[in-house]
Amino acid sequence: MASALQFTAISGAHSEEAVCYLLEVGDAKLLLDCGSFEDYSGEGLARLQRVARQVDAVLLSHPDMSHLGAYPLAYAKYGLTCPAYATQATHMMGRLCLQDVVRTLTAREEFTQFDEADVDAAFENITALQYAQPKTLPGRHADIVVTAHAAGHTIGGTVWTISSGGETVLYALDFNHMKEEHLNRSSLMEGAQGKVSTRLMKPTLLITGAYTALHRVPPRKRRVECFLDTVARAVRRGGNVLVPVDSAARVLELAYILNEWWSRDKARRDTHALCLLAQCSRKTRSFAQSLAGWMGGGVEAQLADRDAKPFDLRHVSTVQSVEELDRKLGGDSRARGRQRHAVVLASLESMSGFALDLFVRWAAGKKNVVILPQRGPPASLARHLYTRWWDRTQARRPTDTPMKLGAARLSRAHVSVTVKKRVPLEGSELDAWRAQERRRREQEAARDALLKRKRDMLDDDDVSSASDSDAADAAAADRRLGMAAAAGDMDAATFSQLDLETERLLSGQTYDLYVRGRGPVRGLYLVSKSYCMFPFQEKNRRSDDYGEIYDLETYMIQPDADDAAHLLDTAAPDADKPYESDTAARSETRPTKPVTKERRLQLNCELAFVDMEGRADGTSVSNIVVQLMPKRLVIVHGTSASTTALADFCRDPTVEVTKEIYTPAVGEILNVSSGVNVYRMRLADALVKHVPMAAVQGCMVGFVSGRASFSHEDQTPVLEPDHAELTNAWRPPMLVGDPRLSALRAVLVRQGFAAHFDSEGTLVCNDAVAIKRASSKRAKCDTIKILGTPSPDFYSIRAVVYAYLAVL
Amino acid sequence: AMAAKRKAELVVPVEDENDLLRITPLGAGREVGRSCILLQYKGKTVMLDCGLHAGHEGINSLPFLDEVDPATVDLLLVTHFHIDHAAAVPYYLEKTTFKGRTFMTRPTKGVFRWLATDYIRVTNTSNSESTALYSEADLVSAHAKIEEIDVHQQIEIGGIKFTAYNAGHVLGAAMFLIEIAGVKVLYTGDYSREEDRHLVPAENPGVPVSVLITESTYGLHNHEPRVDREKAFMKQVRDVVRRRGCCLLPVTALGRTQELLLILEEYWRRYINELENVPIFFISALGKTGTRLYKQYVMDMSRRIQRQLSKTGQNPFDFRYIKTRTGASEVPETGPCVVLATPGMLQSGVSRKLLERWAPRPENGLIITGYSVEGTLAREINNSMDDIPALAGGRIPRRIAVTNISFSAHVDGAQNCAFIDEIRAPFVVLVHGEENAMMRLRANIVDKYKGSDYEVAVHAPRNAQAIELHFHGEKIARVMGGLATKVPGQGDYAAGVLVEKDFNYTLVDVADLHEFASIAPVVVEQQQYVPYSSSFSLLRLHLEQMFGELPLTTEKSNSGETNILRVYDAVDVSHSSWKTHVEVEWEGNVMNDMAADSVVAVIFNTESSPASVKITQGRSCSHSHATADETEDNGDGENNGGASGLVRTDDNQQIAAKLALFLRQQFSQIDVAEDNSSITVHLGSAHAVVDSCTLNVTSDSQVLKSRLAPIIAQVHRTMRPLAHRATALPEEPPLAQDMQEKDEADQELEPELDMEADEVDPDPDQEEAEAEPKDGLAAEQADANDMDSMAVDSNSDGSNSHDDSDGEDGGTEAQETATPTPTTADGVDASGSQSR
Repeated sequence: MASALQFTAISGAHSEEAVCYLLEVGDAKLLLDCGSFEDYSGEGLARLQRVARQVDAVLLSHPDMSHLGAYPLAYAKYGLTCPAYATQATHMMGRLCLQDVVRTLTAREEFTQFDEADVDAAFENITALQYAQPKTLPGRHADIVVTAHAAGHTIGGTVWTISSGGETVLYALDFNHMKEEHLNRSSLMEGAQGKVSTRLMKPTLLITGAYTALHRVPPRKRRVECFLDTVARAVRRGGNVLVPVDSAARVLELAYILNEWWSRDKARRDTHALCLLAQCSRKTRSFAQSLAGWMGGGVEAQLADRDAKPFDLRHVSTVQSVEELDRKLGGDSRARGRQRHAVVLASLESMSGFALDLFVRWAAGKKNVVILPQRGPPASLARHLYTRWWDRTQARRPTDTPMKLGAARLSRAHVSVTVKKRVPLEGSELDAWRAQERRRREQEAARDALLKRKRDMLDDDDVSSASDSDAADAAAADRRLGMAAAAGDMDAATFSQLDLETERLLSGQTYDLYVRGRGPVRGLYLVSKSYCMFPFQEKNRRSDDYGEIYDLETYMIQPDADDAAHLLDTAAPDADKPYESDTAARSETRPTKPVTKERRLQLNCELAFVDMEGRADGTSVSNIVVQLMPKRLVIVHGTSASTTALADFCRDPTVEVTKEIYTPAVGEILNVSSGVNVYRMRLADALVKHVPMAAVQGCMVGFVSGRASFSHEDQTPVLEPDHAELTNAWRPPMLVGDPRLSALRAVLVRQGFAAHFDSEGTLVCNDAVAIKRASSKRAKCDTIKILGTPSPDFYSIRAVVYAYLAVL
Repeated sequence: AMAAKRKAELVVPVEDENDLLRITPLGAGREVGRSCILLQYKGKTVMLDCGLHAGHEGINSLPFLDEVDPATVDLLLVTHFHIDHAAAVPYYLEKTTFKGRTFMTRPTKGVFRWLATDYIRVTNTSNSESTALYSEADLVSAHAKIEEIDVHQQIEIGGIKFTAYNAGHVLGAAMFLIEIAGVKVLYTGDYSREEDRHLVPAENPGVPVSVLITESTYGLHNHEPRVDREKAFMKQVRDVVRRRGCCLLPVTALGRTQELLLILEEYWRRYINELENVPIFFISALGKTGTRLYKQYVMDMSRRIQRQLSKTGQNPFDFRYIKTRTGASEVPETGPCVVLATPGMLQSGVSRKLLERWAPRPENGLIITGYSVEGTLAREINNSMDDIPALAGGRIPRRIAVTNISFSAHVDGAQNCAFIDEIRAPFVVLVHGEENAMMRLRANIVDKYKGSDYEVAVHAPRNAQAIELHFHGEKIARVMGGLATKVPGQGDYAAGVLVEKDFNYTLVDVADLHEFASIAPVVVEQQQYVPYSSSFSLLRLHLEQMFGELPLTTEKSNSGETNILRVYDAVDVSHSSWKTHVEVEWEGNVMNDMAADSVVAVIFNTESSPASVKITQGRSCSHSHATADETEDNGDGENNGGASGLVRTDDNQQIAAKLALFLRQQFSQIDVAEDNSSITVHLGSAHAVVDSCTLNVTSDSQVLKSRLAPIIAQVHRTMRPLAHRATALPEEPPLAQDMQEKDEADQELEPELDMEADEVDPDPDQEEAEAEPKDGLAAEQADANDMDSMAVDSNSDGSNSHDDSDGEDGGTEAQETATPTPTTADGVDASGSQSR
């Protein structure tokens, strides 16, 4: 029987917020994407927290914040530790995207939600897939198969199909129907003649986004031209160009376009540097190179070249801090005696981080230009600037024409920004910090002392003692504790709690130790329990029965068994240095504090918006939805206006995609089961052998009838021929086939008939016989009507039509 | 259960040829090299690998490709880029009629491109041009046709489902799991189960496999553990370097060499303090390309490599200590240094040159890591040669230390047996191994499982020797939609439409066909316009005489009255008082078509039958005036139409003949040009030439021309009623004007008209009135339809026979001449295939 389907939007419905949806297939809960923007706040996260523990699988579709921003947070803090799936490219670039964000945030503010280790742990949990690799979910949900298909838009970007029983869910949010410089078009569009791919057609449920539904943009070629043009003008007048980008997804397309453009013109190379400014920009480049196989477009052509380095971005300098950028520009200025300017692709997309740093610096310069390649997350600075630009440029544009792109000046405009950064502590604050640090050290020392005492007590009990070095023991004990913490699934808070208890115990205040552990999880709620226990530590025997002293190292679980098995372990400590250096080390040594400053900036620079989002535009999305012919349609991820617009388009009786179109609000539970019934039946050989099968549209069809019988072995019914029935029953013969006249025409032409369509869509054959589609009086099915005089043409054409269809 | 199945196979004769799975090695059957295995089942043909034999040259190195018609091969799957697995692919794609699709993994395709280029270069220089199987241009063209498959990706093409799995061995090496109609065949290609530095070892697909086709290169021979080999290798290198010698490693450009590079790079990085001054060179024409390709495909390598990349952001194939060069110019004369140089078997080139340079000194070392073919220096130098032959002639004393450490990544005997045990396929086919090794392995497997619950049949076919395995796939249909609302109980009746696509069966209700199978029930409605200008009562009389009492519906409109008679509850005959035809309408199927044909025949007969003449007191039809000439012509015309059968042949011929027929009835003197291209009409002194192709009229006499024009238009309209929709049937063309013009023309030419023309010509003075339904046009139409109605004749069995019996004979004749045509065609076909 078919599975029940339920859909709930956790975030990103009737809004352009980051996306996160819950799809329930039978009793399996699938989380479709897990996005959050870098502010890490909002209702969406709270709702995600509520369901995270129950989720059975996570599917991530694009390596950007909107699609996987919340994943490490949910993995580390909300208990979203179920299996997760993403394509190899999404996996790699997604991790990079989050590393970049974490570093950006920790370098500027008190960011404690999660750290880089959480990102790594979360992404280690992801199973990397290839496109078109059917993946069966593990365990009791083995009836569900998820498959990734190329979506375009970002490298590794995915359109997911989730199939179970008779249901096929197509989750296609941000896809691109066009080929780009570095990416191929979506698999959705792999059908013949630019049509929708047939294998993805007719899903029982289509979940799609209305993000671009009201967006009318000029053709891609014009947009690229406009983008380069805007850059070129700024370069000519000696200005700086700031392009805020994400750090792992769309940045690749922009970097690639700029790099190609740069390589064509030497002159601008002398005056301007082309830079990619992100926390991990070097990794971005090196990852992208190794992922060249996931790209298409121009890169694909390069792959075939013997010595080309695909996606080498030769002209793009990767810089990882503003200081490095300054050094780069300044250094050259000394050498050449003139100030170098820069075209900088700077993270983040929302214009916080480096993009903001540069914006603050360049906003007042008249020659400079800020180019927004995307609209940016709602409520971000990028979006604010976009809105300002829109109000300025599109006022007199007639609706329903493509938007005008390009630069505009907002004369005498101001913009308020919130600048966050860390400043070194000074004066009393520094003293306070030092005092705190001292306390912390003392506490640590006390704990060490406690551990040591405990050990000594154990050692005293043991016959063979003392001789071992204390250092090794302490290390081992630490590791033990660490392991205990991991095993008990205690987070840091619980652990420090335990420390406190231990301290109280030491000081003789109490004799009972309360260990707060997690009880069994029931439903949504955590049942917390405290267990009373006597502080008893089991003695660790340090020698075996023969007096041989245990070597703890022998029994330690190696972090990477197969690596250790290698003759030469690859430690490669020096290799890390150039890539992960300063930020982490610096924050350790010098105490800093985050400060937030509101600044009002004079906006003298040019402001431009050129749509380089790489998403299918509104018209294409609606066309694709129509062609996909879904049985049910859920529209999310778009403002209420655009969601409604797309829904209305699909509801239009002339289009009539489907009658079941939903535009759920956040949190609304939709039942979208189709109720298709399915069971399996074995066909007896005797039955199949005698059924005349006719070929039609690449299938064989035939009418079968029989009686069901059950063998002893299993539950599957067998359809056996029923001889009495076969001889008695007479059915009127039935024709089946493809009623499209264009297909019929092809067949007629192939057999030597002259066949063409007249202006009314009637197929005229040999100028003697007319064939048209008609609505039948008798049956509610497709009807082909043949009209003509009794002539050889009539009969021969009728014979062709009969042969073209199959007789059941 | 398996045993029972096989026993059954012995007893029951194979009923269905389609149930036989044929596996034929076209190469690599009891030999190593030119892998090419053919898989045939259920009418599908898959070729696995297409390599060349290194031991032969030119056409002899090809597999036995003649065993199968290349045009029938649906799919070619290539496991990895080695010459003995892939090098014949360009030949097969470019030089044969193969039209199927070819798949490789992305790295295989990428590397194969350059390896094959190198292969062409080497064969072209070492041999004469004539032995080259294909050129660089062929390679480029073939390469463009090859499609990519990702590991774990599942592709389905026309019912053949296949998935690639990691095979270890070399970069991009894949095993293929092929599924046709539920039977799963796993072909390992060359595979390795050991995890090395950069590759993912061969995986178990984790699904029940029916047939396992596995390599058996090493037979039962077992390797040393890889870690030991690596240790021995590094110890050897270190020893040579420590004694300040030169260490030479003859290698191939791509493949296992990159593994050695990784080992060396890692060792150097670790002991850089000690080894700082020891350079490593990799000298190969393909070296740079190889490294670039390996860098490019890191995502296809092991997790270890990927973790290294994602941790440091640095590609593991960005070597810091290894210098890749194309020539040996930088290599120092004396050590210490390490040099990896091509070719791998010391036949010639850089590796040989360096060997000759370093051979006399005992502190130097030579490490052979690959497989060496019999007859090459790499194989012979092992046997404690005291001196080696120099390429320039003479002999050079050998004091260099020689070590053999194999890094070739094939499974050994134990691993192969373990894999076979893991897969537990009831049928195992051994390929890619030398006969003795293969037989020992086979005996070992058979012995091992004798009497156990895993009974396995092991085959080791020779080249071109097919093994046939019988599989009787169960046909399991998915019952969907309305039919599936309730699972039937014992003995319940079930009926529906069975749809089979690519061996998947779906059973659905007729009503659900469109939804689940994208196939729609289609109704073919048919409507024929039969010329008829007499009264409805006459029509009804005739129809009821034939079919009994018929239900009548009458509809009234502004134009007049429409009466509809329904015959056999299937065929509607509607007669409108203002139309000169009857519309016959029915829903097409075998029964209804028959009924409709007889109805049409009755209508045709109505106006010409003597009974009608009696009733209406009207004139006989114009045919009664046909002369013998005309009849002959008529017969010819029919013949012409008949010979073409149901398919039109020569349109113009037919039109010309019919045009002549029409014109002859109007004008007594006409001449038809011999090639039917034109017809000349004589009317008194005036002449007009009608082009039978374009129907253009040329004439000196305007009058004759204007008279001909409407006639010809009418002819055209009759024969091609839909050519001009404005005047097409069923709408009646405005006749009055034509008639009037004709009148004038007639009057003008009156004195010169002869009798016959006068007689044939319908009376122009008669008013077009309902009282006299039989005007000239209708008659013409009737005639035309008569002539056109060959098919009607045959269908309605001559029911329209009237006084013009000759015409009917012609029809029958035509039928007889028409029928043999396909038979002859068949005969030709048959003979053709016989001769083939």
